[in-house]
Amino acid sequence: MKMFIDTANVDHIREANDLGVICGVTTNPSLIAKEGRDFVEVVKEITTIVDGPISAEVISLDHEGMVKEARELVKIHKNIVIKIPMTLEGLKAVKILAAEGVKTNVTLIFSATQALMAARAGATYVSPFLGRVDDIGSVGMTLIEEIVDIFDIHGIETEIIAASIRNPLHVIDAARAGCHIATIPYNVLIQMAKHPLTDIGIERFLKDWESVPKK
Amino acid sequence: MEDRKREEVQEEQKEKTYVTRREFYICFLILLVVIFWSSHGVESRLERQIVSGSRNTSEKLDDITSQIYGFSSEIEEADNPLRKSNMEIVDVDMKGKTATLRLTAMPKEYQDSMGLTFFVSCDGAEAVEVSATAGKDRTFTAEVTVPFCGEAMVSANVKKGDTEYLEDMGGVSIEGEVLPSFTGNRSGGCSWNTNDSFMTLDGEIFVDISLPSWLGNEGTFDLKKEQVEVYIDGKKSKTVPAKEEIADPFYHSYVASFRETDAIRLERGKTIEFIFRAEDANGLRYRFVVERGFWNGEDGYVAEEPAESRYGSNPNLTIE
Repeated sequence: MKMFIDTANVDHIREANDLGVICGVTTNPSLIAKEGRDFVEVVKEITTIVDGPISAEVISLDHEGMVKEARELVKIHKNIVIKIPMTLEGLKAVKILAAEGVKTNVTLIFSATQALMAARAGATYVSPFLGRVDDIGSVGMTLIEEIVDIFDIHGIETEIIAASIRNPLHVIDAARAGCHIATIPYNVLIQMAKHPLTDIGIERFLKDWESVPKK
Repeated sequence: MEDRKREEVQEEQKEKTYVTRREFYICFLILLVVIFWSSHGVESRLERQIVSGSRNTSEKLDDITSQIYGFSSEIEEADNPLRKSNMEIVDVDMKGKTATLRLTAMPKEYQDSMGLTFFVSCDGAEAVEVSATAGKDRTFTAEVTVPFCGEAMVSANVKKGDTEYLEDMGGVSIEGEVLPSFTGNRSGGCSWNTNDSFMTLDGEIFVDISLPSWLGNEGTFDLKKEQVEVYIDGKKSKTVPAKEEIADPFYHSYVASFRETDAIRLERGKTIEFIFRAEDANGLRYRFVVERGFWNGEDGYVAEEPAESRYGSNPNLTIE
């Protein structure tokens, strides 16, 4: 399973890229806006850091508007993937963009039928939301498993991105379910590298080293 | 000749009926085995009967116990003057830090002359009395505004003629239902200088906020001025902005980094606190203690468990 970073924070993207474990980025326009920075400027900066798919979201609600925005965004860099919400208008936009060879990531997927429709419309990626499904009392991982099964049975090439990941366990479960990609927030990425026994081991090692007489 | 033949036959018969010692022992052994097996069978049957008997006794005891409970709940139910009752939060005033509770109760035997009063007590404070009015469906309803509190206990007093019946309706956690819950932790490392006079802490402070369904559905929760302050022995030593990493309808996540120039120096025996502060659209200011720790110089840095709290029931979160 490949790993993307899911953040709007350029410093975190840089830090995660330096770890050598991520190969793509998914961004969120509302979080970028909250930082008071221009969306296009941030996306441009991200393309200079990570050499892989970078999802940039459109904000129009009608398909003409989405397609227009997408055509502008893909001019930024060849790695730009257009993030489109799972709506009927979104599906129309995906169909048009797929015909033009533009890669799309259909987001806000909460059911297997939505994922199937997005894939058939020509989406390059579908992003089912794990944490948000968990939030409403359902099991997000069941959704991922259903989509993986359906795509496997029918030989669908659309890649599945496990999104709205809240903890390292989500990443493990997504990997075991056969998900192609997990887009992971920075805090979860850091947690994944941590283990209390590793910390204790390092602490002990450093303390022991301090007690060694130095010349 | 005939006599001889008769003697031979008698001799033959004698030989046939004669039991040798070997045959006797074999028979005896077989008899022993048979006795052993049958006694074993009897033992097993006895064991089974004992087990089954004890199970039956235990089942009977359970039956009797459940019947007693059944009787007592039937008595309680018969004693309860209400057919059904309910309490729900119908409005929240975040600025005023109050919630409106709608209380309903339907008496078992309705009379036009009867009256019903609710008593609401927040966190053990003196109960507030609220008169209810009966609707067409003979259900008494009242609304009461209560301050944010750990638990609001409600009881209903039914007045029928000169007789009054007081029934406990249970409680509701106003804070649990209304306010966001905060969790947080620090992820990072510690390093010591060569003479153990101070240590350096770096890493990230993570704060996750889960919203109750009403607040998530409303979609208005938005924090500003999010930052993490570091206090050493109660004195503010550093402030770092916290950046929002996740802004889902029911879940928000923030990260504040303490690295390189923002790494923190902690001297032996001193206490450190990481405090997340933010303000919401209603002007409420949240103060959440993410971690409190100290360096004892012996075992290294000792941190308290990551804070997980709800306002009021835990001192780690306060709302100003």
